[in-house]
Amino acid sequence: MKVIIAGHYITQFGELWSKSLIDLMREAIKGAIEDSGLTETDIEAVFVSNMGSGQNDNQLHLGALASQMISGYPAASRTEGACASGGLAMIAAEQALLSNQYQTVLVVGVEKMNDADSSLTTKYLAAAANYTTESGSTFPGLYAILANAHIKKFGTTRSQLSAVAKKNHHHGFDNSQAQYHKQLTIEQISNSSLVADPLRLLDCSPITDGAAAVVLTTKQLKEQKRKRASIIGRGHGQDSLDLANRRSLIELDATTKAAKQAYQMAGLTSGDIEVAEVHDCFTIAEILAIEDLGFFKKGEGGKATEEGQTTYGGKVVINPSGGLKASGHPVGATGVKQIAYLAKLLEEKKFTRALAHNVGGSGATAIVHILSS
Amino acid sequence: MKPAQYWRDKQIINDYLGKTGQVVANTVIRTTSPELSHMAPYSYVIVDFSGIKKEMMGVGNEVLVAGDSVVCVIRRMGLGDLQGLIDYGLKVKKIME
Repeated sequence: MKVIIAGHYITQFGELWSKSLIDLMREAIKGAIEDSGLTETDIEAVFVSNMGSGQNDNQLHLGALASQMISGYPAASRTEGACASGGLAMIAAEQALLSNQYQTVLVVGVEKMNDADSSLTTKYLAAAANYTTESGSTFPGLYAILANAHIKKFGTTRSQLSAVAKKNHHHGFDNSQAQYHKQLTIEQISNSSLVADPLRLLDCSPITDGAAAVVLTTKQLKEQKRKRASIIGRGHGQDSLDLANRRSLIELDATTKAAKQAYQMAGLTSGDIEVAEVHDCFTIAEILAIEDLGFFKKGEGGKATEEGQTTYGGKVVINPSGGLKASGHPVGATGVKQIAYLAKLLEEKKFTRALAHNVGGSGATAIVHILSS
Repeated sequence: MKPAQYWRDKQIINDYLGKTGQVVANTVIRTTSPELSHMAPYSYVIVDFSGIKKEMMGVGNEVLVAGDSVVCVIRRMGLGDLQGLIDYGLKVKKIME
């Protein structure tokens, strides 16, 4: 049974002062259904992904809210897995389809982060870490620890970290829905303010509002104006929530586990992937991702990026949307946006095999999807 | 501050107070939440206590790096309620040779 991406929609990402959480969710839901060519009554269930609506908007029970936006009040639920919420919601939706409980479902990821003061946002994002054993940590701080470990082991350089950000801003420049349309130089990135040593401001993905939705189906679609992408592999890996209990600080075991499952299910290897949206919440996160997903040897991710191997004309195009760094990171929406964006690229025949990589916490949760045209 | 949580959190202090270990991973946090912003920048490290690793904040005005030997001490954790209970906890301090 094939899971077909029948429709997809991504809202503008950025500081969207005129749009509320509900506005964004409604826009993404309506947009994805319209794009699918199906009707609202075709949607049998809706899976919502979100992390912070309880704190930011004093609004939980998002499943019911989303269901209310679709005729017939389809069954609904909300999934939370920090920044991996979107990937987890996708897995839940796919499992519901593959179990034959439903034939057509909708997944919507949404986050409204800018209404709150940025210091409060920093605090709630830190809730993705282990509250009792990582007291005093921040997200940049946890990834800075990973960066220092990678630098110490492999000699990853400041300019290699900056090369990730430069490349992603270059990609994001052409993505009309990206938060930033600004090319950056290595010097600008390398000289930006320190946030948690060695990570600087421009190593970090921004605070973003946005939503994305996809319609998934196992039915044969009547309207065939375009060839839809399908999901041919998925994987879900876990590791300890706190860094102190990790086996390694230079490899995210959750990613390697998820990738192995996905490649095995798809009958593919990393060499078959032409394009990937990976979880670059910080520049070091992309370097770890491209190594752990098997695109480059451990320790060579920085060098590969600096040499242009992760952009057009290189070995594999990483984060063509601009990634989290330039496109933005509305936490609950990111995992769904990755799928939606890649589906569009496959439909446009720009690539034939794509991979989406979504991570929660400092690597406690990882979801990998493989898409095919 | 929630009294029950405060009481629970303090139970483990005796287990680690005075214990020594070695820093195995480090960073300096410069931007943080409102409760801790007055303490920034501060070291945030992973310490190996004879095989058990814990993530800890470093004491104020001390930069810790991998390889440093440290000891667990009690320090104020955040501003908390200036009229009420002091929010204290375990941090690590470099052992001077």
